[in-house]
Amino acid sequence: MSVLASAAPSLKGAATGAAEPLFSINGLEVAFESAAGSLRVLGGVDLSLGRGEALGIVGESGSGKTLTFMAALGLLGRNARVSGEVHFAGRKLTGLSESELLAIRGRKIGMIFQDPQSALNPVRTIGAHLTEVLRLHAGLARSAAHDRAVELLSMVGIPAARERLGSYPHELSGGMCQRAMIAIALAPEPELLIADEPTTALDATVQLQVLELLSDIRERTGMAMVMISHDLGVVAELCSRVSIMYAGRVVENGRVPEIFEKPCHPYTEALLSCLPSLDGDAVPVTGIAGDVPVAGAYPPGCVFAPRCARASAICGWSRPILQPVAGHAAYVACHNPIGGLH
Amino acid sequence: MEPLLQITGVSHRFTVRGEGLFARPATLQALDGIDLTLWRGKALGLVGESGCGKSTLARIAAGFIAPAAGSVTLDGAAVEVRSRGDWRRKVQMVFQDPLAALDPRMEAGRQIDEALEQAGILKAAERAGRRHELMSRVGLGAHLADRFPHQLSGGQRQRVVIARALAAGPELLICDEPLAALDVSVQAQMLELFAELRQSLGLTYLFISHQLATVRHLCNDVAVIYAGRIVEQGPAESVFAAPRHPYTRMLLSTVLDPRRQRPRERGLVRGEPPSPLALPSGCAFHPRCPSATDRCRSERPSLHVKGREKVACHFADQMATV
Repeated sequence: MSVLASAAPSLKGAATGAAEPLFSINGLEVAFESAAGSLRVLGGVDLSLGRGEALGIVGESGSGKTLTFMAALGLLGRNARVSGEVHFAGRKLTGLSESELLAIRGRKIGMIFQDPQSALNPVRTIGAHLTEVLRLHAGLARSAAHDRAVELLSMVGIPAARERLGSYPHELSGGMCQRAMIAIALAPEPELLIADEPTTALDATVQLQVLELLSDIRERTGMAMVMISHDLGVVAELCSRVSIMYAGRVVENGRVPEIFEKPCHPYTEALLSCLPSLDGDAVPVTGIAGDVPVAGAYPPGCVFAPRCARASAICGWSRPILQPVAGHAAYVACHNPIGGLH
Repeated sequence: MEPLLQITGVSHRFTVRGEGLFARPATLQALDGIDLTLWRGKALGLVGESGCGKSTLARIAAGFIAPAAGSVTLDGAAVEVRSRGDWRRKVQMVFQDPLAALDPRMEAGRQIDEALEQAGILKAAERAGRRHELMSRVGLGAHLADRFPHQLSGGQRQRVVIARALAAGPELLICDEPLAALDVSVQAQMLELFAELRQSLGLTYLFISHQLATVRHLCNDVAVIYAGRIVEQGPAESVFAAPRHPYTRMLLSTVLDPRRQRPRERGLVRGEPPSPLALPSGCAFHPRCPSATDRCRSERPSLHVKGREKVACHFADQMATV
């Protein structure tokens, strides 16, 4: 753990000890201003990922997974007060102007979302979407853009790619639409792809094919990826590291097989215990009592304390920070982590 | 064991608009020759991809739609339409989205009261007592009775829906993806509730879910549906441990378990379900099946009994040993 102790704070969580992270978020806080006052929704998020790495962000709805990346990329509205630092490829993103951000978003950082049908323009063809991106971001001429579009569509496994360029989004199935979205996001050859629940709306069979496609592409291009998902199985399938979020904070992060096999944070363990097993009653489903707290009603001290079986007096008033776990390549924000103290 | 609901030879078609403005209406084969028995006190899971007909089957079982062919009998008596009060009392349904199922302008307690009134409990005092009992049975605090649906969490809303369904004192609960819209931790709570209600009230379930592990956890039996037909059916334990139909095997290979308690078969998944407007010849699964032969392309396999299971595959015997 000496590497981590001496490393800059930006490396917090990068258990790999890699040179410089491709993308890092430090102390990101978000509050929304309204007539009723200020509502703090994100309480100091730290994340980082290296080049070519795949990081999973796991949490239940309202935990701030999507918000973290919306804020980091400057996509929130004017009523959002964002503080903290975001770095990408050695550049500080926070404080950049909208036009400077436009040159990064979509070009260096690709994004795909849950519902491809609503992310695509219903009155424009798949080909029009693709060639627009290729001409704008990759600077290709019309005919070159057309050829490249065919190439990209066949790369993402869309059959009869040339004919499909003329199809409208409603003419494609959900899985084919998501493949088209991936092709559009990959067109400018981004260094980082942020995938926000890209397979949640899809059938399990289609989900698996999309995940296999993403993992193929990463292998071939060395592109880094952030996979935002509520599904621990999806993250386990695709990512080498994972950050678990709860109520606007990262509560645990580390390497994927270890975190799911030996979680240190009681929330991570509880989340795993919610999943029924294909082997039936061999693993009992215990669930977590109570509900996810809503923003504005976060408890003082540890946000998970009211639902936590391991909570002690200190959890009620002192908010734990992410600290390394002895003998683990993991960080945990807990006063009473499973398996003992740091 | 005695059967509660029996579905015999049920087929159903929908007429839909054809492609293009002046095209003739097309026929969509939603269900084709379904035989299913719901045994009293048991839970049957229905699994399959979207569009395979599982929700149509649930609606036919609930008596919402009359099947084009075949019959549905409840307690041995054939019932054509849902209008019969007996059916309405004995069969209740829980849907995926509780916010859509509840009246947004009515307090949770009043919605349960209404269902109790429908069930013939006319005295206000008696109703209040029953409502209280139902709410505590599904794990809702009495103070939540005055809340409107939007003031409740997703899990609480689904509990209100379940309490309302239980108001009539049903014997069969048909659940169509009741967990899909909920968070993981709330799903686990609801799973416990469904299991507990079955124990304490002796309920029978028809449970639709795309999550195979959930079906494995809650159901005794499972029926796998592909393109409107049952392709495999049997005890959940044996179907999931040793699937005999290649489609079941493919579905099982899509279950992503973060704890990796069992190794996942890779490379089995390909293609998408066929359009119900143009089903493939022979076995509807043949275009996606890794071991399809000429026979599969021309001859449709029927559902055969194999031990404790039923399988519709020409090569089911070979599958079991793979």
